[in-house]
Amino acid sequence: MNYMWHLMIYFGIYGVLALSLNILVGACGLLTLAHAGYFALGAYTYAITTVAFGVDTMTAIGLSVGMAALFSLMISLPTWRLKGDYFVIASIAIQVLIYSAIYNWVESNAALGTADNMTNGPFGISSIPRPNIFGFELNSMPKVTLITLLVLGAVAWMNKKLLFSPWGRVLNAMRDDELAARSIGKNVQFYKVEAVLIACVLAGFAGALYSGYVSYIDPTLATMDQSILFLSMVLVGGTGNVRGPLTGALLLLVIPEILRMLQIPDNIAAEARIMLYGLLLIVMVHVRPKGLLGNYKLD
Amino acid sequence: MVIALLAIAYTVVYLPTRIFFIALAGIYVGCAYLTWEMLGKGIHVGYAIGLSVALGAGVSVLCELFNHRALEKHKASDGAHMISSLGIYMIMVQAIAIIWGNEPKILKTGLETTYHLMGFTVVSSQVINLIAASLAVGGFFLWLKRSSLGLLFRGLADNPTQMALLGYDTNRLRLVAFGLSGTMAGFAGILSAYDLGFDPYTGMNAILLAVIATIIGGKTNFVGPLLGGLILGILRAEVVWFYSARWQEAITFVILVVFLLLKPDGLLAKEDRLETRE
Repeated sequence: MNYMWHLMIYFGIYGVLALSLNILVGACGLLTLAHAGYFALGAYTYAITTVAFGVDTMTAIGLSVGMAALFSLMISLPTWRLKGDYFVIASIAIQVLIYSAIYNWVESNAALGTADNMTNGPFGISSIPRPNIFGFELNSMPKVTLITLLVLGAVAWMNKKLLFSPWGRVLNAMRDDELAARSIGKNVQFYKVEAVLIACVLAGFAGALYSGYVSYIDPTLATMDQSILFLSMVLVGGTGNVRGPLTGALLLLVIPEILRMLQIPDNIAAEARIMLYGLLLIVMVHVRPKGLLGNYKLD
Repeated sequence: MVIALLAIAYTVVYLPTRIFFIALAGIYVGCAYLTWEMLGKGIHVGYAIGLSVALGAGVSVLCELFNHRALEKHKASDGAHMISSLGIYMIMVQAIAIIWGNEPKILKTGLETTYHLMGFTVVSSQVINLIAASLAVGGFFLWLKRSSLGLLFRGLADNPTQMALLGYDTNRLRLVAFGLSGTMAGFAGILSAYDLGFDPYTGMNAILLAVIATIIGGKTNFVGPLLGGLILGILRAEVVWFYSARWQEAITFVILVVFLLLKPDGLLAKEDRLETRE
């Protein structure tokens, strides 16, 4: 039973991530490969503030979200001038910068959270305390699941409201024809900053949830593979609405579990999983460019 | 110089087709592994390199035949090309990891002779690398400028639509582009595997460097990537020398961000009319 709870918690976290990425990929048409960076940024901020400074859960989540919001400018400023492949490269650059900052900001004889050793580098941060929301301690699996799924529900509802609001329509207009959007008086740069801000904040939030649940994090959170995984969720599930990314998150979560049930030997299981993701991407692009349940064809 | 070679390999596909050919990273490491395998079986070095480079070119051509040509027929967007190429890359790298394992390997064996030249110390593998890569780049430019196919290819890189209108078979020329790109990427992969060693994941990093070199140098011709590759290689070496290898990647990407913001068309960009820009 614990296994089922575990899967549901992961679904909640990945769902939030996929939905946040959907705002960028689906609504704005911006393919970003930096999302794992923001996820890790949130996770690390949460871990460092709770472990090293003993901050309570809500403040730590607030700080994670704040950090993600601040650093979202790194993504949104390049979108003003770059498009297509160039934007993808810029986002990879940001991803690598965040990763190498997390990986290298370490000094073995300094305490965690000091200016010399902010992130503990490759050793990761362990024994992150369980979240405690206003005295309601999340100490059992069902409680964590409940909170995570509640959060996912709230994010999904918000996502739907946002995407189909006038604000979401401006994003769509920008995606389809930026010049036209500008010529009817929309401040395109401002909208881009807002969209990226919301997406990164949600990713940071998901990161805080993750590090509260798993209680151990290391720099592998911020690798390119993670970003590719998140992007695949959105692309496979479909972009531009709420059900698409959720389906994608569920599917890419369930596939490795099925592989595990098929008794694939452990030493190739990880590789086989990523191969399958790659195959899925190719098949999707050829057979159904919209994604399974999407309503926008990727550009 | 190896970065420059890979950057040219990337540009050879990018200019005529506008495809962000990530699968090149898979070919880059794949060729290194093939050569390693064949050398282990006792095959002569020349044959081993030749065979694996030919296989690399073959895989590259297959990518065009089965993936990009079909997408082009659907009028798929650049993003679709890139994502499918990313998918191919993921499959290739994981296949390599399953067959040969994840451990880093190196092609060269034994100790090396060192030379002292004008106050610099160089090792023989670096000298061989420099000479081989320069020969490959030189050969490519000679082919580009002197042969009739090179002329057609320059036409394709300049304006694919017009080439098709003039009655040339652009599909076949595209195959040439992919084959050439695979050849050069494979050769670059073997060279860097010889000098620096390799594991299945080195390819992605290398191709990113190549793309950055292309952006720095300018993407509208074939000299840009060469220049960008040289600049980037020297800068990265300086970072290691004066600072620390840990921050090499970070510095590289800072350079990229600076270029993207201040001079997004690269050093050798021609001033285009506004409406022809992308």
